[in-house]
Order: sequence, then C-alpha cells, then structure tokens
Amino acid sequence: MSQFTIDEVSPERAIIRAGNRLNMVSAPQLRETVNKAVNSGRSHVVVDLSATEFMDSSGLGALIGALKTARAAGGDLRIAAAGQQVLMVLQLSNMDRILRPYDDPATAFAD
Amino acid sequence: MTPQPPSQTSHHAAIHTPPHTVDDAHDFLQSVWTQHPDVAAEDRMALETVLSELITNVIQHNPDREVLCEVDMTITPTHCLLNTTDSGNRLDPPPQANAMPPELAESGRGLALIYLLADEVDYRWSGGRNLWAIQRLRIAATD
Repeated sequence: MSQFTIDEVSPERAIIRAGNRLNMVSAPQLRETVNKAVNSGRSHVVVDLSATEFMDSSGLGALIGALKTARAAGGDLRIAAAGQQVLMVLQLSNMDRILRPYDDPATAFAD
Repeated sequence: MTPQPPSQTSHHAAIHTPPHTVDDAHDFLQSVWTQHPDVAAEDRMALETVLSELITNVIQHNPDREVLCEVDMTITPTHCLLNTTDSGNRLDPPPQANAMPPELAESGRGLALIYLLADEVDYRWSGGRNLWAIQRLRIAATD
C-alpha cells in the first residue's frame, strides 16, 4: 500500500500527503507519486508532511528530485507542516532555503 | 576508575537485509525509546537519523547480497552509544566527515548528517566487518 495520497486540488495543483517515514523504503513511492501528479498537469505540488515523523537523506533526496520534476514542468514543489525532525534535517543540510517549510498545505501556494 | 553508571541499559537488534529494511532499524529504536522516555526528543531524533543513514549505507553498498547488521544501543545517564557491525563490503576509503553536496544533488548527505549529529564517530574495519561507534552526549542528562 502506498504511503502517499494525492489530493487533486485543481487542474494545476495537487497536495500529496506523505506517510510516517520518508526514508529509502518510501522515497521511490514519493518520486512516483509526484511524477503522477505532474504528468496529470498538476505541476504545482505541495507535499504535506503533517504525518511524517521522520525523514533522512534518502527522503530529502526524493523531495529534491521531485522539486526538479515539478520545476521542469513549469511548476514548483513546496513542503508544509514539517515536524521537528524534518526541520532538523532540513536545517543541518542547509536545504531549508531551497525547500522552505510552509505552515499550512492549503496556503503553501498562496504567495 | 569511573564507576559504571547504575542505570546503563543496552539494547540489541540483528538486521538481515534483505528481507529486513531500514524500517526495522526504526522499529528497533522505537522500542528502545519506549523503555527510555528520559531520552530527550532531540537526542532521539538525532540517533534515529544517524542509524537510518548507517543502515541505508549498508544496504546501498551491498545491493546484490545479504548482509547482517548488528545494532547495539547503550544508554547511560550522560551518553547514548550506538554501535553497528555489518558483514557488508569494506568501506574503502574509510568514510570521513564531508561537506554537504551541491544544493540540488539528490544524494551525498548521509555521512555529513552522521558527523553533524554525533559527538564522536569512529569507523574501523576489523575481523571482516565494518564497525561504527557513534557517541552522542545527552542533552539533558537526568538523574
């Protein structure tokens, strides 16, 4: 069973809800799910991390790959509702500048 | 000689990959934390990240073979000590602290994270095994 669910918010936007852990087990599923959203025209993707208690460098690598996929299609990828451990990994890797954490998945594309 | 801290506990897991995955390492740590609610959240997050990176490296460096990875976590009033021993290919050259890769690189951050999150990291090859010894000073040591 996939740990990821897609909410097709609009013809251009999707919110992908991630599961409990973003690691080497789930990273390929994240890439696949984002590909699916982007291929359906939804290149503005929010990854909702509210249920994600853990992310390591494999999960981060998948988010970066997914960001590149979304940008290549003319869109963008944003993350929202990250927990403490995810924020720790983003900050230590200096990736919080590239993957800026937004509070709310629903408003991550508001600006 | 320093007396042994009375509340030191040790926990062990044997992870066979495959069929085990890095998720089994997470599950092991969850059981350790359940027995150690005194370990601060920041220490738990750091050690879970370190162990996940270590086990991921073992699996990635041995894609076509079975590997046994033994994990030992010792918790003392002042430190968390994480030791792993794996039967995978020798890490050559030995790993060392490295800088983060370019921003949009999709890999290459695991070792850097390990060194950032640990107070001491020791790697050696001995007896045909990769041995890692990680020490982390606990943030709020409790009595």
